[in-house]
Formats: sequence, C-alpha cells, structure tokens
Amino acid sequence: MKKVIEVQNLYYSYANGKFKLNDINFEIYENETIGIIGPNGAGKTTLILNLNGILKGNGLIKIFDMELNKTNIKKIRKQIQIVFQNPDDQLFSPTVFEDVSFGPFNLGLTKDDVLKRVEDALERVGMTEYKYYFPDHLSFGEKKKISIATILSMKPEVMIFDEPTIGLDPYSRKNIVNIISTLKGTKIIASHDLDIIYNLCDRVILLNKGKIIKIGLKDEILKDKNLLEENSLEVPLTAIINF
Amino acid sequence: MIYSGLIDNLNNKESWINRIHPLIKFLCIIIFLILILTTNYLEFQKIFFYFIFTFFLIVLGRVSIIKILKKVLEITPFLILILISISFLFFKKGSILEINIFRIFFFKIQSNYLNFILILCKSINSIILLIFLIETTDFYLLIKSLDFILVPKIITSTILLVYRYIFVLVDEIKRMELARNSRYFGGFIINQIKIYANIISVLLIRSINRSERIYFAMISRGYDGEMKNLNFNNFNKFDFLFLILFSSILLFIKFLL
Repeated sequence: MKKVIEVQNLYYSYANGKFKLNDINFEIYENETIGIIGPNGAGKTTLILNLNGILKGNGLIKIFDMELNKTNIKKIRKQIQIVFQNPDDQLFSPTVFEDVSFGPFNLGLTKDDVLKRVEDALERVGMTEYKYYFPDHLSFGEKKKISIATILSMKPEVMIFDEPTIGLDPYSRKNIVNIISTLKGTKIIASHDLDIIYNLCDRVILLNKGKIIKIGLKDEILKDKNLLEENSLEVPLTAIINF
Repeated sequence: MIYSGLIDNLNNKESWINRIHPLIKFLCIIIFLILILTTNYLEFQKIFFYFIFTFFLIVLGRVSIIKILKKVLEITPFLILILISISFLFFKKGSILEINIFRIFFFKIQSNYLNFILILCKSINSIILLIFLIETTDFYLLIKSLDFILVPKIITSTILLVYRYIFVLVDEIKRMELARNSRYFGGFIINQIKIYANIISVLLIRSINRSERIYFAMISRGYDGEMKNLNFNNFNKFDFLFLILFSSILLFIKFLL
C-alpha cells in the first residue's frame, strides 16, 4: 500500500512552553480511514494542525513522500484538507457559494471549473439549494455539511475531520456520518464520538497527554475496556454490540 | 441564535432595480451624490428636483418609504446637531438673501439659515440614496463594487469579514449575558460595571482566538493574502440603458433646469 502520511519524532509545544505533542510516530496509507481518539486536551487538534503545516513542530512529516517544509507547503495543502471543529471558523465568507469557491479560486482554477466544483461539492452534501445563503442563517448541522463541501470542492487526496459530529442532533449526526462514509480517499477522523470511529475507521491512534498510547486495528483498541478507561474513554456501544 | 442578516433583511429582491448590475447602480449613485453635494445655494430649487428623482427611484425599487423615513429620522437629530455647529457657531452672521423659488415663492433669508437648510436637504437626500442603494443591492456585491473605485482589497476583505462575524460576536455576547443573568441576583452598579468589563475582556480574548482559527481555515485552503473570488457577471444592454437614462436625467436637472 502507498504511504500517504509519515510522521517521525514529531514534537510540538505551545508558546507558554506547555508540551502538547511528544515523540509522535505513525504512518497512514492510501484510501485508509484512520481515527484519532483521546480525551480532552490529548493533542488531537494540535496533531491535525501539524499535518498540513498550520502549526510547525519539530520532527519529520512527509505527505506523499514530500517533506513538509516552506518550499512545498502550498503543494501539500492542495492535497490535505481539514474540516474544523467549529463550522463558524470554517465558513468565513458572506455566502455559501463564496466559501465553497474560496479554495478552488486559490487553486487558480478557471471560473467554469470553479462553478462546476462548487455545484458538485454542494450536491455531494445535499446542499445545492443553499448556494446563496448567508452562513449565519444556517443551522449547525447545515453549517457542518457546508464545511465539508468547502474541502470537497478542492478535491483533496487526504481529508481530515476534527470532531465532525460534535454538537449535532442524531439526525444531523447520521447525515454527516453518511456523507463521510461515501467520500473516497484517505480520511482522518479525530473525535470523542467513538461510535463513529468504530463505524468508519480501519485503524485507530489513541492519544493522551500529547503521546501516542497505542496504534492498532479498531477492534484491538475500541474493544479494550481497560485501555480506554485508563485514558478517560469508554468502549463504544457499537463495539459492544459487535462483540 | 439571535436574528442576523440585518443588512440582508433590507434587500427587496423582486424589483427590477435589484437586477441592475451592482456596479452600474453604484456608479449611478456616486454620480448622483456628487451632483447633490456640489449644489450651491444659488441652485436651491435643483435640490427639489433631486428629491423628486430620488422618490421615483424609491418607488421603482419598491423600497418601503416608511422604512426609509424611520432610518432618516434616526439619523436626523445627529445631523442637525452637527449642522448647527457648522452653520452658526463657526461662521459669522451671513448676509440677507432674497430667494425666488420657481418665481412663485419669494422670501428673504439670512445666508447662514439658507446654508443650514441646504446642507440638511443635501445630507438627507444623500442618506436616502445610500439607504436605497443598500436596500436594492446585495451587500456582498455592494462591497465588491468598492474594488472598482480602487478601495484597497484589505479594507473590502475586512468589511466582508466584519459583516460575516458581527452576528457571531453578538450571539456570543448574548450567550455570555445569559450566563451572567442566570447567576446574578442584583447588586451595586459598580458590580454590574465590573461584570460587563469582564464580559468585554473575555469577548476580546475569544475574538482573538476565533480570528486565529479563521486564519487557520483560510490558509489551509490556500489563502495568500488576497481574497480571490468570482467577478461580477457581464453587463447587459439594460444596464447600459439604465446608466444612460439615469445620467441624462441628472444632467438635465443640473444644467437645463
């Protein structure tokens, strides 16, 4: 299998000196869906932000065999996209169209290509009729779907979802899970919602206090009651049902 | 969530004025404003025609006159205060002028008073025109029109971001106020001021954090300091016709009446 992401000896500390990531090592392969789990403050978001160079830690990060550095950061960002936890951070334009077209315009695509990509992305999340809406007029679930559309329009090779189901009602949650499950490509999902991790992911990275506790197949980690409880998590219901 | 989209709410998207190209509309209003503002007291009656033309525009744009009047009334007291200071405090007493309006009304007036009335009328007419422009044009396209008059992109981008996030911030304030009210049972005014000072400081910190996260979202999608987006649609014949007709009427009022 082709290696998509390779992280070696990654360290990251915030300006206040607090260590957030400590000796992180892992590999992610093509078309794999991998879950990053851990309690609050484990460093999930910090790790994600390091993967496309928003935060710059010490260590080696390789995306498609390209080392993440100043020279090829733009190239890498074209291939790896993040859906942020709070859609209000992701949707910063006055209309949905502007937001979904923001990335493709920055890719330097022609007007026709951008329009096509926007239509396609909105259709994939079932939000075509919301094209000219002001984001503040949308519900939280709708904003989440539009947030996903903003990265789909860029056609990235790797999609990262930071807490994709947080704050959603069951129906919207189901919708988002369905959308993510239909997306093709490499996916990284950071979440507390271990049920969606169990349903969508092949492998899981368990993170706590900035360190990787364990990397393994989902059944290996998500059915290990002791391991999860030691790390302030609990076995997801879907894993119990599948015992 | 509080009701947002206050500016969008003004738009009446059904009139044909709304469908005119925003840039053309913006240009027309700019020309109109320049003509109004360059009117002197010897051309006093022209203000009257400008008002009539503005009224026609409002009717054609199907904009609520009551809504416009309400907004004008909200602004007028401030306007009058400023004009009083300009017309009577900083300038010497003016000469007596004999005014003849359409050869029907003759009266004598001190130039200070005439200036006061003239500036007031010009200001009110300008305000009405700006409200008309906002009411009949999508706010986003209106701000994009500013690019055309070479307003720096950093300013237009900032206005658009403020427009997007002002409602999010108001929501945040409301939530904090709610949290305060649920645990607050009255007290001295000093205490209340302290609480609001705390709310403001927390809001500032949250705003800084949020702006950082928004910036992350922007750079992750390729932002390099310039907001690249779709240009306006092409002009059509009707837009040009509107521009010619609009300018002709204004020029007729300015030079022939």
